[in-house]
Amino acid sequence: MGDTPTKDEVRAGYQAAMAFAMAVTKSKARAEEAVQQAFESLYAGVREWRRAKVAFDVFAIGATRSIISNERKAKREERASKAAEIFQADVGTQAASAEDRTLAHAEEVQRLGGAGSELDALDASIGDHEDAREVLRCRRGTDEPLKAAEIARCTGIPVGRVYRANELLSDHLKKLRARRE
Amino acid sequence: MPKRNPEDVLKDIEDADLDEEMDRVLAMTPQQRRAELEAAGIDPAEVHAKADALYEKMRAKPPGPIPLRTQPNRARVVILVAAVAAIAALVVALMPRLVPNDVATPAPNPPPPPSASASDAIAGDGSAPAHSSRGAP
Repeated sequence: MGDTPTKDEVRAGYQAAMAFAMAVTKSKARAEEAVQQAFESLYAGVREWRRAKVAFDVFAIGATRSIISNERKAKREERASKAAEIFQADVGTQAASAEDRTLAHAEEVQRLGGAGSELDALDASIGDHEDAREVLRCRRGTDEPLKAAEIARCTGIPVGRVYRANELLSDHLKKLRARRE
Repeated sequence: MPKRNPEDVLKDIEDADLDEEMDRVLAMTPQQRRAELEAAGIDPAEVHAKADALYEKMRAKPPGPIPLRTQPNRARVVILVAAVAAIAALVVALMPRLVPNDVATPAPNPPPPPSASASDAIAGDGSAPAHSSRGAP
């Protein structure tokens, strides 16, 4: 059974979570929704907070991060589902033979951007931004998710520049997807 | 070193800003967070009011264990076992009725030869039955 935060802890946690969510979503409505869901998951018993383990504001930010990350994941899956529907509609019924269908499928997957080809396209789009290239190489070469400080150790690039490289990679990825869609 | 799945790498890139913002906000003091929210046009009094409403909800229903995923699973297992046992008992009880008689019961023995009195009754016309031992010399 988790601990119950005090009123002051809830205020501090809500404020911290809102500051985080606003910075990420840039939208008051979306930020409030994410923070609300994070707190609901606490009193619904989906998440447990233990005072001895972590401060409540840290817990609240972590729970909100999880909610926003899950929303993004749902959107990615929705996008993938739409791409699959397009393939089914455009290719699946038009190809004459099984071999034709396979070839058409491979082309379509490449066009729609399988994750691997999407990463290759991202790599190509970076140009001469060495930090971003190193960060991407480090991320692709490890077997677990890395925080900025870990990437800094992996690449020898200062953390501040890793943040900027991450931003550039994220921006390029969004632009590539926007162009494709 | 084993490489990550490309989809995971993409997810990491997409969520990198979450980690960065998390680190940044965690490094701030409560006053700095408040100032940042005010700069974004959010009234601190409104933030407190919403936080207080959530606190009241928590007080009304304090965070507890997570029975949603554990207890019902146990209950489901018990119900499942009971249901399987009941079905098995029903099948056993109904088996004799469900299986045809010629399969369920052994074939009857051939009928015994009729007795003399029965033969007499059959042969009511006075003639001796062919199989009767009484008429034999």
